[in-house]
Amino acid sequence: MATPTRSAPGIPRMSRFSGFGLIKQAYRHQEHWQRMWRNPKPKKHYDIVIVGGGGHGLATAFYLAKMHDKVNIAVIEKGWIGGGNTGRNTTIVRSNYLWDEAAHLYEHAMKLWEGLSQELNYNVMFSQRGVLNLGHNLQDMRDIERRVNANRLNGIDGEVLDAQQCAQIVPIMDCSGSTRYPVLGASWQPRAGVARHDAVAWGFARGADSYGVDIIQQTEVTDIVIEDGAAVGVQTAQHGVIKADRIGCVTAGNSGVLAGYAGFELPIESHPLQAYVSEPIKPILDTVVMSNAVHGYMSQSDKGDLVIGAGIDGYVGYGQRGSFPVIEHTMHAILELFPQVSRVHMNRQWGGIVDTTPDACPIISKTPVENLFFNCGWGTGGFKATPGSGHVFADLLAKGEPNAIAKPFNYWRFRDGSLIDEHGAAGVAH
Amino acid sequence: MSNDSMVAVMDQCADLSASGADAGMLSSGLAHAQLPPAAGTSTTDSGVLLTEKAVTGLLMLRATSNADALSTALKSYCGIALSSRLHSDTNGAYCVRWMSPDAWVLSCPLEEVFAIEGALRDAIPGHIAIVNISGGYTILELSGTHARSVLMKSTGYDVHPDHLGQGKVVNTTFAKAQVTLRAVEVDEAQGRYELLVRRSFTDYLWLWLQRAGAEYGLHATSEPK
Amino acid sequence: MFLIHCPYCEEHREEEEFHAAGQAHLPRPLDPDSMTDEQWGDYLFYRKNTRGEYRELWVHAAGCGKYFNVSRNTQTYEIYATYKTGEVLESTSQMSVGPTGSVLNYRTADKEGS
Ligand SMILES: Cc1cc2nc3c(=O)[nH]c(=O)nc-3n(C[C@H](O)[C@H](O)[C@H](O)COP(=O)(O)OP(=O)(O)OC[C@H]3O[C@@H](n4cnc5c(N)ncnc54)[C@H](O)[C@@H]3O)c2cc1C
Ligand SMILES: [Zn+2]
Repeated sequence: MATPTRSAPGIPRMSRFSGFGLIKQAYRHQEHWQRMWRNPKPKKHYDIVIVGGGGHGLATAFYLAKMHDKVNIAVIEKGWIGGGNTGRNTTIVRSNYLWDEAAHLYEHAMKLWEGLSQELNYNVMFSQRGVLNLGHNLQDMRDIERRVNANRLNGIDGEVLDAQQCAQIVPIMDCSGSTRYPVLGASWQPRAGVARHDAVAWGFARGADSYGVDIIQQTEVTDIVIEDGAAVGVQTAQHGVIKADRIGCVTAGNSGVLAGYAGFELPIESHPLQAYVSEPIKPILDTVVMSNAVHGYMSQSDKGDLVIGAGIDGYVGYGQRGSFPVIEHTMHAILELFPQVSRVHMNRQWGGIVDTTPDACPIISKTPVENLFFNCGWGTGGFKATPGSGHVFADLLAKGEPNAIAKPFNYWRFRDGSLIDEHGAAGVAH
Repeated sequence: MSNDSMVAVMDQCADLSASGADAGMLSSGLAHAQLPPAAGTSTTDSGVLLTEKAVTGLLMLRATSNADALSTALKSYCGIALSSRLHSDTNGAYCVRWMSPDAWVLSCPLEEVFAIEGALRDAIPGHIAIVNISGGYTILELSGTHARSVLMKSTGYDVHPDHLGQGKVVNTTFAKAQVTLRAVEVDEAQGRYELLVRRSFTDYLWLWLQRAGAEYGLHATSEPK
Repeated sequence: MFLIHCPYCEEHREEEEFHAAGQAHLPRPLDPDSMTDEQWGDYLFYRKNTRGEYRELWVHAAGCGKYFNVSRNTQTYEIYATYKTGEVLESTSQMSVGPTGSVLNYRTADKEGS
């Protein structure tokens, strides 16, 4: 508990976390920890209002304050921060995307991840334990080689492994060749890994708050106020109209609803995506294994739970729960790969609403409505981009124009044909 | 066959009479796996009997506006009309099953399948589709006092006799595969059920049924070819 | 888990027998060559994605193989009605809801525009 971080006038100073602080608080029976962010009353007007207090919205606010000296900002969240997909995801972080545009975006995020705990003075438990993307047939292996080559040309680490090397990295995996979909090899990104999802939301919230950003929870945006073709504020259910010079919507699965308030459509479908965790068991898996072909992926949390992810449900759904057939399908896939976990009990299952786009790439863009910006379409795989997404979206909101990384991800690409087809690399989920 | 027919029809069993069924293309869907009779052998107290039926002739019949004409033609050749929704009709060796509002599957003796196909085509000048699928499917039969129990372990469909009564036929999922399930003979005490399965799934389903039926003393056989 | 009533089999069947096939009533453009990029992009990529009552296409894949329409609430997941392709469904605002929340008075007419 030493040096206070920089804070805006009138905002209580945020104490820094440190090893010494931990010991000190332990002696004080953990009763004197400071609140990590304030619970302010919304002002009538902000320079920038960010709708959606997930990781991306909070990161946007943080970088706006830190990089662009904007502090008159509010993040408006209808539930609690991180309660959307941010707090529901399986936390895989990697940057081995095929196409240049996507590779640049996710690698930008990866570089920020690598310094994030220090930058936020908050342990986001980013663990670069490596990610394997398995190949089960010759075409998978050709795609993997192509992708790894593309990654290396973009300066992103990656290796092509054969089945034996996979078995060395993941001894519990059945690489015997006698399975229905034998493991032939994998792509391996050593710098990839996992992070603690809640900590990412909390760390960015605490950081943004320390600069004076108002984080307003339990407040639902029910309309976008538009005057002369330009957005001028948001209507909220709990606090009336909150005015803003610029508005950024970062509302994941509900982005289509928000666009509807503003009078335009997005090329997005919202689908349920589910995940599961098992009871905690002793360490058996120290990396992340993903398979698009058998359709499941698994890692083990520091607590010992097996964290398992699935594919999306085929229908549009806003229900934050997934369907039973997908559970069965996913468990089949996991047992095929890891027969020894067949007796492990599953503890919890839940779903999020993922905002899928036709080219499996996000939309970070201006919109047909002036002063209204969207950052959405992250679908099944946006957690890994959280710091990068916030960083480039902050730039867009501050300057009004996208930077080189964000530019290809514009809203108009679905009409002029400049799609970035990342399906090959991203498969369906993660 | 009429000469102006634009459809190429292949007799899948042309060499049948010449060289005998075994030499023809249509061997058992289990031939490669040599599976039966791996399970129980007691016939006396087995609660369920699994039988691979001998390869039979199968025609997929499809018609929309000409369904009535097709039905009439079928009646005159086989003595049964096209079945109504979720039903099947049987006359001796002929059985027709409803698959969809515009599709039926007719089973008949293998030797007759080519002749029936030709006759039906000749009888209907308009737009219909008839495909000989004899080589694409296998028929398995489950019977006995516990046949229904085995079904219940394998499909989500409600197989209670009130719901799947005699003669009813449904396409549904079965142990993750897709089957056409027909209640051949059903009463409170026991049942006889037919599974029309894709040939490439036969060995998988056979193994599944052997396992699922083991606790009821399943006995497995193949009908003579 | 959905129990879906197939309007062709006229029975409720388990979700696993079906596949969702996206938004319903999307007419295929008759003359794609004469369309602007914007119109073509709209046809290919833009879907209503409604939170609430939504019309979608499902196929009874493991059953009769037929495509049909479903009126479903994408938030509560309640299925209001299923109806054959080529039929129209009255707007749900006029639907009378039964004790279990199912729509009782949906009516299907002959042909629709799209
Ligand atoms: C089961 C699952 C597993 C996943 N696994 C991975 C993975 O392994 N790796 C990976 O990279 N990605 C993964 N993802 C995707 C990832 O979670 C998301 O892309 C990412 O978290 C999106 O962050 P966000 O901040 O944009 O959205 P969210 O965290 O969903 O935040 C949006 C917020 O907007 C709020 N909101 C919505 N409407 C309104 C309104 N009208 N007014 C106010 N607030 C509103 C919501 O309450 C929500 O808190 C997974 C997703 C799911 C569901
Ligand atoms: Zn049906």
